[in-house]
Amino acid sequence: MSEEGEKSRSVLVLGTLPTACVIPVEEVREVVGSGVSHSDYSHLPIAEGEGALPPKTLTLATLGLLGLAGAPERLLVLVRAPHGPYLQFAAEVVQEELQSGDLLPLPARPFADSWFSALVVQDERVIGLMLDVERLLGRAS
Amino acid sequence: MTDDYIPFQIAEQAFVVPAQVVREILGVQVCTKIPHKNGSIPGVFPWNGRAIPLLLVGEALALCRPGSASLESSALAGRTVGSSADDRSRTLVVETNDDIVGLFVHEVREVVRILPEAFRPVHAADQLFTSAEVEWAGGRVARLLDLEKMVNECFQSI
Repeated sequence: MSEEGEKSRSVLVLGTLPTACVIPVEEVREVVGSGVSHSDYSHLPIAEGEGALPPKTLTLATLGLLGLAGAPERLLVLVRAPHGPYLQFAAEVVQEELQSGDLLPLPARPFADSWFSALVVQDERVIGLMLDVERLLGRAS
Repeated sequence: MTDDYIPFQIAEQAFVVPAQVVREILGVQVCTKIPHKNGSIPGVFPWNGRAIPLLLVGEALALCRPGSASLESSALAGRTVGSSADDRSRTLVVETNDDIVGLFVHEVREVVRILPEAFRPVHAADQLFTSAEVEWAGGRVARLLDLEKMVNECFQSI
């Protein structure tokens, strides 16, 4: 339940349960790919896509470690730094507004080395796992 | 330390755990899968404002095979709901050391009182995570689970 004065946080939910993952929009620099309309994300700080994938794109095979394999119906490309590695997902994309109470951190035991940092719930409904982008990019670099 | 214990079953075998470590008894919980190599811990579920791991006791004890028609396999699917599970299945929320864990078990019974002298040492080498055993109904034996050891070993194997 949200407390007064609590700041909301915009996130993108990638994919659907049971393998949905969640990322903060501030981690997103660009969204490109078939089936994704940029107008859908005009309110996000996302640049217009150029169409071509950058050389440091992490493939879905890499992300298979996350259990995120799925049909490439839609493509989302993310980047945190101008020349940093991109993350490529094949997933349905939905934007949600979260309150801090919606994030239930994973316990350090046994998930200290997990790609994920928290279970994300909204209105008492689980919507996915928060992806630890920092950890993922750090390992991939 | 009280003499109260909570009995349950896994694959026709009876077990007990001290009632004082059980924080709550829930129905089958929706588990969000977290990929890793230990099949006995398929993921987490929300409980009291936190995410806690679900531990499939049958898998940890090697009493149920992954992918079998057991209820464990439905939990492994990640989106288990009560409608697809046995009505007798339960999730015991237990606290051991500083860990809070949900134990997926079957047929939880009412609290029973077992005096310390009723327990006897375990001799069989294959009694994994069992610290003692006690005579049970129908001439059977109930195993006292060593929760701390089970949780520690399952967590370390992730």
